Amino acid sequence: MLSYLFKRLAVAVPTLLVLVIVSYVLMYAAPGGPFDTERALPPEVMANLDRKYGLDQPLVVQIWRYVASIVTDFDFGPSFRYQDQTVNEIIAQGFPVTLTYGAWSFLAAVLVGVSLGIAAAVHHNTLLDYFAVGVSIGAQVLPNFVMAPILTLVFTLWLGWLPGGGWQGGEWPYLVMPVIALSTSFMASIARITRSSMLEVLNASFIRTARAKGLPRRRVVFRHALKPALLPVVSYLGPAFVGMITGSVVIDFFFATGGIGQFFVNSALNRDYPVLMGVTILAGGLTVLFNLLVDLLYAWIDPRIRY
Amino acid sequence: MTLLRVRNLRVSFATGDGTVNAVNGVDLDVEAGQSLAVVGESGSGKSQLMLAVMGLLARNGTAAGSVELESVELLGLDERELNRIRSRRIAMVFQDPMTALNPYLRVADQMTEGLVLHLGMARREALAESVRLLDAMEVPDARRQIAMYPHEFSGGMRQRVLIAMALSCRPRLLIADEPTTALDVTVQSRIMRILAEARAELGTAVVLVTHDVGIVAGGCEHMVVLYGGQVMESGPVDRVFAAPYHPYTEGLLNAVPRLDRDDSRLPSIPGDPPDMNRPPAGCPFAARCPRAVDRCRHELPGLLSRAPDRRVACHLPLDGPA
Ligand SMILES: Nc1ncnc2c1ncn2[C@@H]1O[C@H](COP(=O)(O)OP(=O)(O)OP(=O)(O)O)[C@@H](O)[C@H]1O
Ligand SMILES: [Mg+2]
Repeated sequence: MLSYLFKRLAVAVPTLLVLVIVSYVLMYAAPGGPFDTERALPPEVMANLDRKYGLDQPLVVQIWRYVASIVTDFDFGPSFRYQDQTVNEIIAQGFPVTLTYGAWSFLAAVLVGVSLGIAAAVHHNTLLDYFAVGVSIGAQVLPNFVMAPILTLVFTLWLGWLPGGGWQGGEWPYLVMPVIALSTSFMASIARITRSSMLEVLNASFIRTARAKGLPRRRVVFRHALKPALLPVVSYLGPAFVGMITGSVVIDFFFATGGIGQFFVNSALNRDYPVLMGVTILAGGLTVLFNLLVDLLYAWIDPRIRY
Repeated sequence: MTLLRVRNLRVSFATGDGTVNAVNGVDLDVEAGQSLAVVGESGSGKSQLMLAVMGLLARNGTAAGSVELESVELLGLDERELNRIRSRRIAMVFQDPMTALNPYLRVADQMTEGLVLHLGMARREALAESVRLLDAMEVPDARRQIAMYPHEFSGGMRQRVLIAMALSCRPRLLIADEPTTALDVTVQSRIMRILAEARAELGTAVVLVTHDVGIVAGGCEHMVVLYGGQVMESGPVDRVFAAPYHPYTEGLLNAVPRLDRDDSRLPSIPGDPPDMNRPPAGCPFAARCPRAVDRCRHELPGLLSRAPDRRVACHLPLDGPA
């Protein structure tokens, strides 16, 4: 078990290294540079800037320097655009925001999705089931970039209940709409997955054994059926996590929450390579870590899987 | 007193291509402490008959008729009322031991929950009792084994766990659906002995469902022969074996290997069981019956008493004209 953990973490290192190299090469290959402006700067100035940031070096040297300073000093370099800020500072500023509404969205998607799915399966072919299926089909066609403007329209412009954007240290009025917008479509997918897998599990032979024992339905569902019914949901959590990271870009754009997604978009538009790289590595690292957690969770649920 | 009294039980399933009539008007009596074998080929409706008694038919199935346990009608009871009877009055061991245990829960958790719920035991006490039950089933090293997951048990061991679990709340009636199928012969005879011991010790009546007539002879007092969801013949095992009345019973008995006969090739009954989607008008066995006459194909024979304790549904029973 412990050795498995170490093995997985050891594999993560080359994975991230490949991510760094590929991202760097892609950026390098993209036409244009970070200091291009409307009016071309004199070539001497450009050359000076390139020298200052080491962009005059061959690609291999650039990548080597970049990786070395991360490994030795955990330094992701300076931002090209925000002259007085390092990438570390930018991430330290934006990441807690993303993490806060991201974690709430994830929690909401899983809790509401799983509950809805279970309720629908247990009350199969009743009004409750049809309602849950209807809601989750409806919600699935409402991705974050559709939800966000709708929410703003209704709760800010019409009802005036919630602020249309901002963060304010993550107070709940600022949190509500980002969380709903980000979680809705994932909640719907989780509800759908839970419902169908719960329906399948409830038909299993061992569930009949549990019922033959005279166990109350609540116990049959939660004690005997829930674990196996959750396995497909657990498998979905990895992709959902990645989807939410991507979604945070949209959230930061619509609600001006100031999360990491905002810097990601700006850095891409501005060719702020160090910030773009930093955010990419952060997202990649989190994904690797999260998938490891998912695998551990899977093994914890299913006793037949042992590492 | 009659423990279980089944009258005109019908089970049908709604499917994509019409209604499947799996059980068609079965009568059955089990006396307290008795052992009854329900035999018949695959698909004759044995399992569905018993699941209907337990109130555990699949979602698309419905049961009609009457199932009385100690004079209480079970058909029509809701799940909560049935839960008061299951385990404490009537328990069932299902057909396939490989899939009947929950793979995600330890055997200990699965065995103790009934004891805690129905007998009000504390968890500790229930665990000790479960170990004792497994010991009685000859599960080696039960104290350690009980903490394991089902996939760590062999088929025979799982079957013992299931039987121990079913007997844990000392039911009056145990239904065992093919408890020996898929097990090797030595394990088979052990399981049969375990069932016999439970019956002697707890006074539990046992309904043994099987398509293997071979295990019926030593293990049961009475037998019911099922075909096409109908009772073909019923009576005491020794007398039915000595002289079956129904050609189908005779066919089944001839398919059993016997020591007193040299049979390198067993005569299995030629032909296939009837299509439950469209049951034939007359005797369901007529199409395969060597004795069938025109009447058999048009007129369903009633289940009639022919001797004390013996009934047969046949126009031309083997002991002479009806
Ligand atoms: N849920 C269901 N829907 C439709 N038909 C079903 C369903 N369950 C069982 N049947 C049908 O009912 C008939 C009787 O099945 P049953 O399980 O009682 O057979 P059996 O006598 O127990 O046979 P076996 O020895 O194979 O266990 C079969 O034709 C089967 O296909
Ligand atoms: Mg069966």
